[in-house]
Amino acid sequence: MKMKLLIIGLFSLLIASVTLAVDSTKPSTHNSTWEKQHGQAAKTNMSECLMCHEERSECIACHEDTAPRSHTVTFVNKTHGLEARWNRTTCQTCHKQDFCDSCHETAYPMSHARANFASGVQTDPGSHCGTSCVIPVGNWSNTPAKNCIVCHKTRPMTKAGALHTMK
Amino acid sequence: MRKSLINLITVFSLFLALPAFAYVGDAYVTPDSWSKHVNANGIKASLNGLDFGDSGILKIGLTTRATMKFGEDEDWSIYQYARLRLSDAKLGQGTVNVNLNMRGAYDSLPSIGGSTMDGISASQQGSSYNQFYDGLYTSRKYDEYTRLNGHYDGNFRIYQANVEFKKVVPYTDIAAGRIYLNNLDMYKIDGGSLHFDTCDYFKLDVYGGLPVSYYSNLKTSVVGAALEVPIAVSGTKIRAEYNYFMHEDGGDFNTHVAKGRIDQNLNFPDIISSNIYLEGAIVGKAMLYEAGLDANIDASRTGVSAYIAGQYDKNTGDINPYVSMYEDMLGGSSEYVMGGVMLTQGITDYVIVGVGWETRFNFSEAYGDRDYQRVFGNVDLVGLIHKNNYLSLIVDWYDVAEYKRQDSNSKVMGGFRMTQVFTDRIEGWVGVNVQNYQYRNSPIKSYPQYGEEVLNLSERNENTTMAYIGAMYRPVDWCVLQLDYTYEYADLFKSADLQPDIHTVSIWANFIW
Repeated sequence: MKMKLLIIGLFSLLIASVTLAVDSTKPSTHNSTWEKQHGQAAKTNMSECLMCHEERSECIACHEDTAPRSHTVTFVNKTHGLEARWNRTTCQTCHKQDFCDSCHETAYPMSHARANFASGVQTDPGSHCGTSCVIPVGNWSNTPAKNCIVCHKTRPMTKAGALHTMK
Repeated sequence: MRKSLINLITVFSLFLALPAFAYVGDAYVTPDSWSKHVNANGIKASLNGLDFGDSGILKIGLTTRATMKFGEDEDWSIYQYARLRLSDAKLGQGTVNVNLNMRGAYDSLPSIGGSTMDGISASQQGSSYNQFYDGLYTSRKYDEYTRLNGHYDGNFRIYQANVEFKKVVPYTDIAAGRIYLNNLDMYKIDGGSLHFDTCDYFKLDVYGGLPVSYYSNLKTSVVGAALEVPIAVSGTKIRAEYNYFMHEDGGDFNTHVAKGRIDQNLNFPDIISSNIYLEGAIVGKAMLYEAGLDANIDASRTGVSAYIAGQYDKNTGDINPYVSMYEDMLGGSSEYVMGGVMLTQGITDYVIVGVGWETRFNFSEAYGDRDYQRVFGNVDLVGLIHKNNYLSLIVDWYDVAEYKRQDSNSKVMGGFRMTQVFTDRIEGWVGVNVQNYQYRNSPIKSYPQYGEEVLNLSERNENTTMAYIGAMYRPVDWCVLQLDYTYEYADLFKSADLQPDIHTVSIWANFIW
């Protein structure tokens, strides 16, 4: 135990001892609220930003290259839909509609990969009838926010080519 | 046990008490690596560059990232990011700039091909390259190139690749390639632009090309013009621009976008520095507006930000996907007004307290639009715990009201961010972020009297905990190394038995000149 304490103590001492004066390269505007303010500042005078960020590396890094830490797996797989309903203008900081389309129009969610999901027989294990669509749909076109309609904007066709039934 | 605890406290106190010097900067400036709390990106910009010819400066950067993710599926990826900027190379009476930023990646689980509705090939999922592709979307194809190609995912992107001729033709800047436009939305296009700077009274940009998307074939081209009138004597800047987006399918997908903005600078040295802005836009048939203020009152160490924004009218038909406010994705967005205010107050050199409020009111109900109240705040301790240390405690609360047939929901986020500057070559950061969501599985209320199933709409109360720690080290000027570890725990996956905790380690190596 003493040895552990000694190591911790020496390590702390080492860290504290090598802490020297460090020049910050940032201007005074770059305080902790800058994360919220820099967007309007860039709109106001982009040329001032480019004096230091001429390669745009920092802009690209956050807005185009790497997702923010707030985009947890829960956010990605579930709650981004909730938050998009609150304030889509925040999403527009980095995303345009093409990004939403790439999942909601061109890919199937995990539930759809289940065997028998496409089966229209309600008693088949895994059929989509036993999940989200168990909620009766009074009128496909004017009851938005059912789970299906997140992607299926219009009343879908069945395999037989007929319109999906409504209850 | 008690003795050990006392010893630990003693050692820690000693650590805090030892003399050290704070990083030198203006009051409350965050450390250079503060952005690592926003995301783990380890790209480091070049600083000085190499001499090129008589006057040119050549900056080169190459970044390699290896990411390993440990969870139910182990996964790793290698990422390369190259960039180049040649600036101020003489040509005639002007100069030439060249810009290139591009990346590519290899992922051990590319998740290409994916599943079908019948469950065929559904086994591949997840990708350490980008956590967007975890779990839910098994058949996602990352980008338009991959969709066309069908089997290979290099996640290849060119962020910008252009050449700029500045004043080679008198009073004119010419740019061609993949460029960021000099307009209010900073559209990115494959095309060209002309910037005319003939006098002090106005500047004019004219441009045209193909808007860039990494995800879809937009089938769109754009032409536009932007006018800027700077009035130096009053600190005013007036801008107006018009863009016309043309779509292969025609109709309302051909969309007009017009914007205007006025910025007014109000600066009194050592007393206040501020900017007031007013912006309006017509996007298709929708009209939007925004006005705001950002001010720093130096004398009292007070910061004030406020804004009001809204949508006066909406698009009911088609609109070009590049400028859509997501109308085609989640149903038409309704008319709304939103606004907020944020105040920060510095107390001595060591403490800043911030508090903010934001709200949104929708005038009509559309699928996506919910009224909400938001309150957020922060307490920052600057060099108080230890010199060269910046600690920020943060909280953020959204309350979304019940509305007609839609249930209420809420989110509370709390945590801290801390950065320690050790030397001018070493910085470290650590943070914890806990988010709680309360919502129902479907935002629509259930109505059992109409036979609706209550079970599927049970209330959810789920947490996500995310913790990270990392460090950046510059052994020599031309090399910057970064290590970042992130841990994530999600109730969502625990309850659904889908996915265990996620551990992600990323290592970055920058070589920059």
